Amino acid sequence: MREAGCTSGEPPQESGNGAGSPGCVISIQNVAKMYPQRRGSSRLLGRGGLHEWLGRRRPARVPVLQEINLTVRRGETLGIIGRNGSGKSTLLKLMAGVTLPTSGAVTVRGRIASLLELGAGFHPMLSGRENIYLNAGLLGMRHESVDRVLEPIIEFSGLREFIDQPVETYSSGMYVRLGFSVAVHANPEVFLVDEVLAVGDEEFQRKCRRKIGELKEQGKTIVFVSHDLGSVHALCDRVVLLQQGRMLDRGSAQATIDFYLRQIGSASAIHLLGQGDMEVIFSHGRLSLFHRQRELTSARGLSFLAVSLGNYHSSGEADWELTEKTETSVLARGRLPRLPITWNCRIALTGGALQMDLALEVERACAVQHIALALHAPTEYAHWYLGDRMGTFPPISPEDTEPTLLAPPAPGVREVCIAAPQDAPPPLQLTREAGHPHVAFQLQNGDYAGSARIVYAGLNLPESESRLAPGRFEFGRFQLAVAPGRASVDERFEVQRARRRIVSGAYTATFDGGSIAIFKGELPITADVHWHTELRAGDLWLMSHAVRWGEVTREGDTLMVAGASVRIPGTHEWRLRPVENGFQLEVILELTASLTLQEYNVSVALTNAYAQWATPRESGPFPPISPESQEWVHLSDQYPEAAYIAASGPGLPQVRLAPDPEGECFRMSALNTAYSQQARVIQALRTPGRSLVFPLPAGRHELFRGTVTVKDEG
Amino acid sequence: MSGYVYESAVQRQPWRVIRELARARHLLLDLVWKDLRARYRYTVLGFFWAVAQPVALMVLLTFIFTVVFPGRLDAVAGAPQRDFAVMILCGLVFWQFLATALSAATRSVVDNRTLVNKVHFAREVLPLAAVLYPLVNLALGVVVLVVVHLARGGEAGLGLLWLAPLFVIELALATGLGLLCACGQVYYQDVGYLVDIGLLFGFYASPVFYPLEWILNSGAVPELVRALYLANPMAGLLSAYREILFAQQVPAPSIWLWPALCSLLLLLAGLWLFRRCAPTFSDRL
Repeated sequence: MREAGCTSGEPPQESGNGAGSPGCVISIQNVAKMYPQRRGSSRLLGRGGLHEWLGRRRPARVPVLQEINLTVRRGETLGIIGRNGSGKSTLLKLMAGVTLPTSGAVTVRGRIASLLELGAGFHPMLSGRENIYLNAGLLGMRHESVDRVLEPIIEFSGLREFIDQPVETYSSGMYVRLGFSVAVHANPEVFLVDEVLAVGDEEFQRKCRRKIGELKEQGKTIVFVSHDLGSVHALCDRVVLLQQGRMLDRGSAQATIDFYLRQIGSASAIHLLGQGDMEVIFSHGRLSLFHRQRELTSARGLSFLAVSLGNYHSSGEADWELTEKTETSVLARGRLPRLPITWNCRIALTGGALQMDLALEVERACAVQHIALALHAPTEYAHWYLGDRMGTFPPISPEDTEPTLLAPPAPGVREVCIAAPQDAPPPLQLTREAGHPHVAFQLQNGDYAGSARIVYAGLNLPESESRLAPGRFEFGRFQLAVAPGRASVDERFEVQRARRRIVSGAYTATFDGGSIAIFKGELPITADVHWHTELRAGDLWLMSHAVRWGEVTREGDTLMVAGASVRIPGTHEWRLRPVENGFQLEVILELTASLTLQEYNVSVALTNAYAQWATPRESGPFPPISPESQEWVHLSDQYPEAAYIAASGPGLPQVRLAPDPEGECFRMSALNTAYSQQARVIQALRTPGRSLVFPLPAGRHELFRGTVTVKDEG
Repeated sequence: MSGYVYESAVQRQPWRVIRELARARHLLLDLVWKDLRARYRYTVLGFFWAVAQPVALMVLLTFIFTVVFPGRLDAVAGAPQRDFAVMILCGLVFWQFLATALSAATRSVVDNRTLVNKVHFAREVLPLAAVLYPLVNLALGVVVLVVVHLARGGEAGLGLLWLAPLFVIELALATGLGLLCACGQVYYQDVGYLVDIGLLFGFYASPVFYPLEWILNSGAVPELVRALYLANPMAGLLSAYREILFAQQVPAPSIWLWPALCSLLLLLAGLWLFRRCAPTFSDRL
């Protein structure tokens, strides 16, 4: 019997030596694995049928893994990716020692904890505490060592109140929490992680990700199997791809993931678009952008999301169907599983840029508070440009369990750009070309596990619109393009800024998509929505941010810009020119048809350091903004007609908004914004008299002419 | 040195079982404890149920043989006149250990498939734990047996301690058969049903509720059948237990030598086969 044991699959003699080299934790040499084919019985006779069994017709053996050679060094994080059925789980099972290779050798130095199926081996009738001992025993721990980590295990699982109840009373989430907690505290040298991050609630998932980050920092060896390429990319030092049981290693993690992404491009809910240097892969609601074979998006790619009643619905969850496929375009429709909403995305590569028309097809009225597009880019991108703001991305640390907001939403800004040193990777530029006017760009750093720079275009639907009516809802048309180089981005943003900026003494005013931001040197005077206008026509409010503004032109000192809105038959025109210590704004409405206005105003939103307001007739403080405040609040109760309204604050220049005395009379009011906006507003407001409306015939009308002047006090 | 080498030839070496079991001894005790805790957790009477079954059967069988067929008792010549109820209980207690252990061991690997599929450990602990936990039932059964024996006017002395070495033979038998059947069950789940039938058959074909002498001294039993009957190791073992209980002495080696040999062979065969097959159980579960 000894001979029988040794002749089958005689291992190469050096297998032991190879594994013995220091630093090598797992060594897999020439491993092949065949599975006996298991057929469910189609007849009552059971497996294979009696006559087959008697006839010695043995079922064929199916190769699952072939020629696998792999070593995992101590402290390394290895990712294994591949399609379903490519042998990933079998490879993990071999590492875990759950099964043996048909030929070849697997050598493991040290204790392994597999997080393959957390809580496997829990006995439902035993209490949580008893199961901790049992489960830790399965992971090779003695009772005495379990005693030492019992408290941390219970603490981490967050199940202290339930720990003495039988685990059959636990929810599946609690089960997993306890299992994960035991596994990470068993202090093994090697962790095998198989998609565990996809279970449990949000908070526990974050905790898990942080814990795995910690384990990695502690120098534990981790083997990670996942379909979430983002996590794989973020966590793993090395990635291997399994393909029909064979292993492919393209060197760097990035290269292997790239290869895999391109390769799965032929599957059904996946489409590859290519034009010139640009390639785009649409895969189950996720877009990956390649430029000259290099991926410019990080593994989480570009995706969309909708928030309904506090729940996130990511485009990755949707069931996608691709039609009208051509080499440069595709129409993707993705039905969200939990909302009566279908994403409708027309994606095309035109002129070297990726064009995305994003809309929602709403089947039944449903509540949606937020819609967004998120572009995840690799951490090589270090600089960002958003309107006339710019900055750098700070490094991402293991403490970052949630994305960090770097540049707050910028309403009206239509263009955002990220760049890397030496232009590797080349700068990316995302432009909003059309769509819902309230979409605002912001910039974020991703969390540690998903290390990425996030360019985010979010739309907070106001309460009045948050119940989407059945039909098509346009989110926006976006264009993603590769800019030639950082120098050109710098230049262009600077040119843009310069063209949109006028100077008066120490003060600058910059026009940006329907608002005018005023600075004293570097010190911002205005905030959030800045100096803007608003009018009410046909019971709809139209903010100047929502107007589609054209290019800015200059005539001497004067900055001129015109824009149109679908809500108004005609165009808006603004003229901004410097006056002494301030700026004068003219607002002109050029109507092609008659229009009835109910009200209009010109407002200046100041930073919340402003504390006092005053008109010639009344004055008062700006009270603190209550956190419950969702709406703007008028602070004056009469807001009489007056010549000006001014605001002041400690150490701040006084700001005065004054309509031209020769023009119309305005009422003056001071307001606090909603809590989220954190700004103080001084406003010149025109409300109609007895007639209740302002009828305006077709033609040219000057709605406002007035100044904002800034005066240093003391 | 905590390295594991997963490689067909090494894992399948039969003698590795000793090292692996030594390493897994805590786990084995945990699993036994788990089975015991879980078994009577939601019962009011707890371990009472462990002895309730053999006692109930004893009462039933004693009733049948002393009231329903009273003549049958004396019908066979040469059977020693012993207390019938105690004799039945003695057979039942030790038979039930084998039946419980074997049937639990047979299904142990398949029932714990989630574990087998996910975690590496010495697979032997599963059937072993299944064989060990009925020991508690047996211990309670033996206590009840001795109490009943004394109550019926029997004698008890140090000679009873001979039950222990004899029981080791039965334990080895249960372990060996358990390992073999557990292994078979993984490949062909038909084995579980076969074991059930075999145990039912064995209940009648072993001297559980009648003395061995009924078969030995009966002229109606053909020679071939008698030889087959005696080939059953439980036949010798159950008689040997009774010898010890009633006669307080070591039974003649002729009774227990064959069972001992059988048990040893089955145990070795079981350990060898299980070791060979265990590493790839998860491929079939």
